[in-house]
Amino acid sequence: MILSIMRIMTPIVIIPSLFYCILYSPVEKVIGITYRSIFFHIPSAWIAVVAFAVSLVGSILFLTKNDLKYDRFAHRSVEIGLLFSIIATLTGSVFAYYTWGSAWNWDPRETSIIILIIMYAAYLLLRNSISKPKLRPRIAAVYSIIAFLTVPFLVFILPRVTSSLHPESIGGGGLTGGMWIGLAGMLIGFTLIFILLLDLAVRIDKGMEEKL
Amino acid sequence: MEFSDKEVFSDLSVRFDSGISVVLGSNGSGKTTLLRVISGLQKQTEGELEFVGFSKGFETNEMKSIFLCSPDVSLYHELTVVENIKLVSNLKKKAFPDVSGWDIEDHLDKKYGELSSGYKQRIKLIASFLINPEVLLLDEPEQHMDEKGILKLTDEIEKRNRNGLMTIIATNHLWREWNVVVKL
Amino acid sequence: MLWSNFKTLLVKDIKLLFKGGMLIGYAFGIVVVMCISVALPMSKISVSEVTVSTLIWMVLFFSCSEVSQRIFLDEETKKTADLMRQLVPPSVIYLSKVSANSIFISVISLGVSTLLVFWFKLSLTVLPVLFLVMVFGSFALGITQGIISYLVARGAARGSVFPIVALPIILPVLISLINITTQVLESSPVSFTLLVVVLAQGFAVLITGILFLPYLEKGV
Repeated sequence: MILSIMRIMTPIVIIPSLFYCILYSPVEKVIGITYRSIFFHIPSAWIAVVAFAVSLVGSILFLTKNDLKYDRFAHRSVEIGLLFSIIATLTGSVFAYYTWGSAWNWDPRETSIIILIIMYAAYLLLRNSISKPKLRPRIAAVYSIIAFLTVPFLVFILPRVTSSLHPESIGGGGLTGGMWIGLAGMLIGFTLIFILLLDLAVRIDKGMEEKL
Repeated sequence: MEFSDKEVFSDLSVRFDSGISVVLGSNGSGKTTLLRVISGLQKQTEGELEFVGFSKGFETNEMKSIFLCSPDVSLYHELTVVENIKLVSNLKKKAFPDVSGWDIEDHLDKKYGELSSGYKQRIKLIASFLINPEVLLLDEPEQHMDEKGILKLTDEIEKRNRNGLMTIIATNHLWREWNVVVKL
Repeated sequence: MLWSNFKTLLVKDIKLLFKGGMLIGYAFGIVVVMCISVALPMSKISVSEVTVSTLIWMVLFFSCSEVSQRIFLDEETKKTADLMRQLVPPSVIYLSKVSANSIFISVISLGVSTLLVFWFKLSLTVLPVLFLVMVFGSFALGITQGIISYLVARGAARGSVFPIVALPIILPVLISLINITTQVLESSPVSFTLLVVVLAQGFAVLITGILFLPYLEKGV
């Protein structure tokens, strides 16, 4: 029921937001329209963190309740999170290329996201390399929990203790009202897309297992 | 039940009573898997395992009073015999055991890894009888042992029996008239 | 009961670490660190403190990987894991292993730091701070590598996976440690926030292990 409403809501939210963000959102005084990549960048980064958090919760639930359903959520959520981290990195690089002059600057946030990507890619690697099938989801779950322990450090601490080029570190986001509207629409839209993608992946997994 | 994703046996229903019970079976018949399941080191794919009439907390306690001594359980190769036995006795809060009769006096200061298979088996058995669990599972305890060793082993098993403790032996040949509970 | 079992196991684990020829990997690591960090400054190429501290921690990480990877794996391959499982609860085994590993890494890193002070002709006043950083760092490194070692050994995963899986998890700690060590070597004020971060991560991983590793032992 809730999912069906979401399926209808997603295009209703995302299509107008896209048009607004790309064509009508206000032009930034200093950097012009290049800032518009943040409409993809910030929501992707947000979804990446949400996805890894979902994986954490799924892992804890799987270990305590011993129900494979939660493991499917934890596993697929990591994959979707990885996808969005890569999108966030790419959109960020485009922005960086036009505003800071180079696509990669080893800015703390860039370092953070690259560590996150390696860490969760390692999750998939570990998962695939485990030769005891019964232990595979359990070990992956414990790894996912440990991996998430570093997220607060990467997302909140590292960018603050070292100097960063990112706006919030050098004072003020500089977003005006019209920009906030676009960003809010995109954030809601991306969240809906994430939920639907996760649901789809988990249902495919379940179907495959039943078929076996 | 499965071992390494291979079905070992199904439709098995066994009841072990107190005293000495023997599981008889040829190689690869699933004796070891059965004992591992009883010891809790491995979980059965289907079916249930029930312990009846043991002291309170036997099942709920994480450290059940069951011990499995099998070829898949080893002591530390890098430590000496004395160090190994002391490790087990310290963990179980027991005094250092009387090892006379096992014929190992000359080997106490050697490293466990340097001993011959027969002596290794002896040390493992000493450790198992030292732990003295309510249920002792012995997987082919007589292997690599000479006649004198087997005699001592039989003695110890009988002693456990007199003390009212349960022993389950898995083997492919019977060297004493014991109650064969199941043939695999 | 648990505490005395922990002590007994810790003594055993330390004995095993120092006996089983594991020192070779370490000795090699230390030699590499020392050679590089000493040879470069002496050959008049100026090497920044950042480079030196990065080298110290990276080489320490990789030389410790060799040992950490084996602490649990050896028990599985030498068939002693099932003995321990039957005698002590899994959390005690885990605690003693990671403690032994941390102590081992501390010993090595203390040696490295003492030598560093002499090579760099640092004033002896930095020694306590440097020791503190090294001990905290070894603690976090030992525990994090320990838990990954457990996961890899328990799942019978390929051993080559270990450094690839362990490195990203430890990177935040390593970045903090490199920053602090650089500050110490430059004799500039040390950021205690970063030191707290290192400690916090160590404790977080330790507690996660105690809470969740029993799920990998029960009913499998």
